[in-house]
Amino acid sequence: MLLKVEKAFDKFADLIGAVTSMAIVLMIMNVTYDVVMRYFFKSGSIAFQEMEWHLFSVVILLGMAYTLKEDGHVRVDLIYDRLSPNKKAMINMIGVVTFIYPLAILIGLASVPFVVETFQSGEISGDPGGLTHRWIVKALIPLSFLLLFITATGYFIKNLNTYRGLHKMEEHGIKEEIEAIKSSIHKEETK
Amino acid sequence: MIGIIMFFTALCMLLIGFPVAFTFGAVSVMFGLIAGIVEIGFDEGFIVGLLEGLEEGVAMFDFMPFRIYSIMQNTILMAIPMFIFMGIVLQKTGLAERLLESMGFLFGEIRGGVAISTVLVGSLLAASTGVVGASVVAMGVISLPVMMKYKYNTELATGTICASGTLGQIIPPSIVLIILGDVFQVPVGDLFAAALGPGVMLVACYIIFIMIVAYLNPSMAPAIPADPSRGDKKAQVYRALKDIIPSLTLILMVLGSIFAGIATPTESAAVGCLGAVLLALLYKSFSFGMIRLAAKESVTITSMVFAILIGATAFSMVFTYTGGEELVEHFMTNLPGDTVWAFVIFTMLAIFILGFFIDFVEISYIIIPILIPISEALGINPVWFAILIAMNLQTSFLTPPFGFSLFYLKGVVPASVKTMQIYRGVLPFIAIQIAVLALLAIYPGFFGVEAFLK
Repeated sequence: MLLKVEKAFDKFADLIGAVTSMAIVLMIMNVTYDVVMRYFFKSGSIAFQEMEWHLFSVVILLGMAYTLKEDGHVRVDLIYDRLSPNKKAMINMIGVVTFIYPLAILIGLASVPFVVETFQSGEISGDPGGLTHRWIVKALIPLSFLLLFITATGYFIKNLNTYRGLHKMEEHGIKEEIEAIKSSIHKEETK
Repeated sequence: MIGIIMFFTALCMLLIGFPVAFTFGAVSVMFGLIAGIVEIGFDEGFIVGLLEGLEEGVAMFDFMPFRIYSIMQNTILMAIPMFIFMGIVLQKTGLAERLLESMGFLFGEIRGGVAISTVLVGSLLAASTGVVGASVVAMGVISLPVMMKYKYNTELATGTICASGTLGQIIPPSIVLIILGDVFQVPVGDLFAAALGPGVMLVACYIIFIMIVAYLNPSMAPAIPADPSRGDKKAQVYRALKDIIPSLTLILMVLGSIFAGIATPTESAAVGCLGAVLLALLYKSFSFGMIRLAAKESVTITSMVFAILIGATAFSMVFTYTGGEELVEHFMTNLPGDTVWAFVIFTMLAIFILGFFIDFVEISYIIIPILIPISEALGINPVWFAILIAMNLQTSFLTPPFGFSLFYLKGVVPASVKTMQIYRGVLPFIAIQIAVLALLAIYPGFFGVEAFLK
């Protein structure tokens, strides 16, 4: 049962991953387009330039939740690395409840009035030709912490499952990364 | 005082091993609430004081959305995911492998030649991919077996690889420099330009060191016999050039346009991404899977940096609120000896020591903002100070037992190489880095940087 729940949370996080990956590719194309327009055609659109940081916001704000699932947030692994999987799982579960939850709730809630105010005043870009509906990009802030809350719950369940011995600790450590790079090198050589 | 207690509590909490960003954020929330309660006090009874204090503490975090919103509009940071993307795409074209194969043996017939080639390839990779882990692994898989086969001294070989792989931290375009540009509020282009001198100096010193070792003790870094199967010298040079020129052109365009002030680092990075994808097409390594991988990787690294930035923002808010800054300033400006030099030496030592345990992102966003008001008050040129810090942070990649590069190399060396040999191997390179750092500190004019603002 819990394993299924964990899978569902993982799927959800992967979806965020897909969206943010898409956003980053779009952002690169967006900036490139703006550069080309500006230097070669001496023109440019304010709306497109503002789109750059809108996409960037999607990447950094929503990516935070996905990165948690991928275990991409840096740790001080001085002690952590040497602990048994059970202890690691315990640290992660306590961390979710005592560190991530309060932080996500506090900042998430604090940012709701921030968005509502913008929505009510109908704030738009200060520059002529800029993007309208500024509340949408601001709404990414509470959304980001909501998603963080959700994926943190998934992360909790994953570690709970590890703790109960339902599956092994997922290792995202340096060893796996090295193996991945190594295998790509060997592929080159055999080509 | 609460700020200082908070700082050390946070450092201790980090040791537990939960992600740094959330640990720092949550500790700040906790101390923010405590500071609120202390501020209000219990004059009007315990319960009233407690509730009002909590309210005061929570109110502090009402500023968070505004801070986050200004981070979102920060176009400097936008360069980070793009340089990462460009680096990964270039890496996936097999750039490291090709350079090591073709350039790696170019100087093989002179003493210490393979090691010298490794340094040169390392500096090229630093300027193009900048991915420390991947560079070290590629060198460990390709160059190390060659050096071992021809009886290079193990310490020298492993030390060379770790040091060369780490060059990506200081040679532009480097993520460290972009982050420092953001923290110090100086143009990233200025930092890139200022880092070039010390970076080249490091490369030169590494090569001179290898040559001296090879000259004094030929058995440590012997010349390898010419390999006729690789063709004559001319064919080899031709192949090396063919492998270098496309990527070199790309990197010269990217850096050149930044240095010339034509484009911002963010704009150059985007064009660099496009160039990298075109190179991937040229080398027939392009695939959508690769793009997806590069995109995913740059998302995770960028969000990791951003999460730390949020944690650090919460931290600095509470730290400032509780007057921690004045305490640090009081301490730093009352160090014995000449104020400026005492400050520089103390901060360098502190960063060096912290670098053993925590990452450059945390140091840049949590420690350095505390130091900046003091360095400003002392009239220190932020560009000079930032480069000193960048050099210092680079060293932390090499310092045992937690140096990043060492971990990667340890993962790929054959079992015959002892961990202690790797540790001993990097020591001379660490010494060289400290020497260049000292040179930059004492004679900044040599690198064309001013130490103080006029």
